[in-house]
Amino acid sequence: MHEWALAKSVIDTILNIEEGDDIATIIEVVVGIGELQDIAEDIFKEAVDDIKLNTPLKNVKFTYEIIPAVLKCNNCGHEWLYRDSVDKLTDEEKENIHFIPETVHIYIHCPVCNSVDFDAIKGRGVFIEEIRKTH
Amino acid sequence: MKKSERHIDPRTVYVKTKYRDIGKIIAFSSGKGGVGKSTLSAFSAMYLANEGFKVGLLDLDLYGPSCHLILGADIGKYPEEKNGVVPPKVSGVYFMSSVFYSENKPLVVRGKGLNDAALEIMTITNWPNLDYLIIDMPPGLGDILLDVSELLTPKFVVVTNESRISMESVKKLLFYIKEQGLPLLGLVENMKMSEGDFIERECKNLNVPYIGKVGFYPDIEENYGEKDGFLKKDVFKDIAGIWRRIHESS
Repeated sequence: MHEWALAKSVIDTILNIEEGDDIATIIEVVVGIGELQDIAEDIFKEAVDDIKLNTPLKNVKFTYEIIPAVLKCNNCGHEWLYRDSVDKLTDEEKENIHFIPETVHIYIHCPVCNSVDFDAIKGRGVFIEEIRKTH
Repeated sequence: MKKSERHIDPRTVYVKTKYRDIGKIIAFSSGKGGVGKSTLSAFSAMYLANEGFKVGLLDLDLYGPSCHLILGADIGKYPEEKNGVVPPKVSGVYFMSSVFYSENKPLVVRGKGLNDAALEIMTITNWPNLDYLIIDMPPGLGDILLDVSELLTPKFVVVTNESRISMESVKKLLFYIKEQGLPLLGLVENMKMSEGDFIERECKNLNVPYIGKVGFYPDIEENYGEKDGFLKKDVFKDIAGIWRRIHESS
């Protein structure tokens, strides 16, 4: 599953940006999961748990926040939630957005002015929202 | 409790480290569109695979992907998933492109979206242990050029045709590559029809290695999607010559 690659990117990034003793001070990592990417949460969490086992992060608690995807039209300024457009998508279209969220521009237009020129201003994909440490 | 790093995109660091395992990353680039980057990228990948190397081809021309046509990839089928997305082997080459996920429809998106899409493809693709990764770059200077330069630090092969108009744009790319100290293998003159040496002289003036030329073959499209046909054609000899010179100089 490609959730595995995203989970690996989270673990590897933490290990890369935190050096030496700093890693031992990490107690919790908050991971934001953007609604637009619609990843399989259970598979992603399981992958994080598996991958962290063989790393210095094995005892670190990972918590997850689902971030609603907010789209904003660059043409008329309208803001709307991706979830309000999702019912109009076919399964294949949802699957394409799942792999490459930017393909949303192929399948969804601004509900007010029909433009494809919009941005996902929140909730695009997976982010490390916070790394919490003891000191 | 101390709060430290916040809102980090995990993909950039991951891509930087993951792609270090690849033997050589070669980006076919040009300041100009329509000079044959995709054809040279795809044919080079097929040539190297035929020489026994394990080769990947990444189509990053997200506004106009076309390598799937040249290789003959079935874009109606999702690539398999195993620890990421596994690039299907097409014409002997491990191939990844946005077309697997776009139904071959136009992706009209601003720069940030382009960056995100490219970064996502680079992150989720689970390449095997490659000797070579060939990247078909989009034309011009912009978002993808910056991403690839910063994240993958490839060796560049710059492509032009023999037109002065093309070279005028290509010079700007060469200036960027040299000014930034990026690895440059040199320039390939593609679709050459005349005996003129304008491009060779320009390379001399710019102190850029002239790798060689690939002729203009009107029947080249006959071999799109057909590796065995391509290997028998004259263009194959030109591609082989280009790679012989690249191997000699690197």
